[in-house]
Amino acid sequence: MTYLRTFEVFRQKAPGDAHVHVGEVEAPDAATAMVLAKEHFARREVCCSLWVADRSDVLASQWDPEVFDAGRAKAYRRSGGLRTSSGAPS
Amino acid sequence: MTSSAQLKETSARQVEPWQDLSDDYRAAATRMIEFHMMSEIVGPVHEFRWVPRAPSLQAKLVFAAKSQDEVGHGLMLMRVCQDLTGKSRAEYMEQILDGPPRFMNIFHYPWDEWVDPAIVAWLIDGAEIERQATLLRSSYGPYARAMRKILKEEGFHHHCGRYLIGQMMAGTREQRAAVQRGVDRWWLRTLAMFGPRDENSKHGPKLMAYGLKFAQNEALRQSWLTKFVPQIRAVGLEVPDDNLAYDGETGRWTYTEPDWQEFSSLLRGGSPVGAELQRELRQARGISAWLFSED
Repeated sequence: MTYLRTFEVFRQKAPGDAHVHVGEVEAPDAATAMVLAKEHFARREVCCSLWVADRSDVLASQWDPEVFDAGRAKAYRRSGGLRTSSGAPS
Repeated sequence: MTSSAQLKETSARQVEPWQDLSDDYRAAATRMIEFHMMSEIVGPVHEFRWVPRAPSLQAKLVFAAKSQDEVGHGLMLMRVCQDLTGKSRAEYMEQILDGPPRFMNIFHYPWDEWVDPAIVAWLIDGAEIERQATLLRSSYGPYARAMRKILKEEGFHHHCGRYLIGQMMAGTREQRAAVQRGVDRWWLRTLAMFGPRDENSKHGPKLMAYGLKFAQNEALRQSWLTKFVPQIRAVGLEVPDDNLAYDGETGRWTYTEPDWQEFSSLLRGGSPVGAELQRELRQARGISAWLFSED
C-alpha cells in the first residue's frame, strides 16, 4: 500500500467560519481523500465544507516558539487613555 | 527543542511530532497509543457480529454506527502512531493482525448474550469516557486532539448502551434477570479495565511524569464508582459486590479487588477469544487483498 498519501483535513462548521484542521486521512488521491474525510470527520459533526491538502504540500515553520514572541512587545500600540491636567486618568 | 526533562517541568505544555522528542518520550507515547489503537480496531469485531443478530432495527443501527465509530478511532490513532514511529499503515495492519494481542482486557471475554454488548456500551464506554476526558490534556498534541472526536463519540455509545439497558429493564422478568447476569459477569472486568493501582503499575508513573496521562488508575476507578453505582441501582439492578462501601469521610469506595493475575495474563498473553478476533480480521483482510494489490 505504498501508493497511499497522507492528506490533512480541514473542516468548516458554518458559513463564515474558518476551515479548521481536524485530522488526517490516507488515500491514493485527493478525490478519494475527500470521500474518506467526509466519512470520518463530517458524519456526526456539524460541517458545511471540507478541504483536503496533501501533507507534502504543507510547509511547516521550523522556528522555536520564542521566535513568535518578539511580535507581542507592542505596548506603544495601546493607548493608556488620555490624562487630564491633574494627572489622573480620565 | 523539548527534552524529556523540560517536559517533566512543564507537563502542561503540549508537544508535536516534528519537535525534537527524546527517544524515551517517543517510546512511552508509542506504547500507550498503540495499545489504544489496537483496542479500537480489534474490539469492534465483537460489536459488528451483533449487527445482524440485534433484536430491533434501532439496535442494529446503534451497533452498525458504533462499530464504524470505533474503527474510525482506530484509523485516527493509527495516523498518530505512524507519525510517532514512521511505520506505514500496512506495517501497522500486519502488527494488529499477526502481532501480540496488545489490547484491552474486556475484549478477551466472550460477548455471547445480547446483554453483553449493551452492558459494555453502558458501563465500559462510560469508564472509557472517564479516562479519556483526562487525556484531552495529554502532552502529546496529536493524541489529545484525536481524543476530542473519540470522546464525543464514546458519549453517544454510552447513551445508546443506557437506552438499550433501559429497554430491557422495562421488559419482562427474564429480560431483567438477563441484565443482572450481565452486570454480574462484567462488574469485576470493568473495575479491572482501569488497570492496577499506581504502585503496581509498570508504566503508569512514567506516563504521568511525561504528562502523557493525567489521572491515576485508582482515581479514575473511584470517580467511575461514584457515577455508576447510583446509576446501576437506579435502574433496579444490584451491584454484585458485598464489600462495596462508600466512606463519606475519605470520599472513597472500598470494593472487592478484581483478579489482577488474570488481568495481566490477558494483557500479556492474550486469550482464545482475543485470538479469534484477530483471526476474523485477518480473514476479512485476506478477502479484500485484491483491492490493494499493486500488480
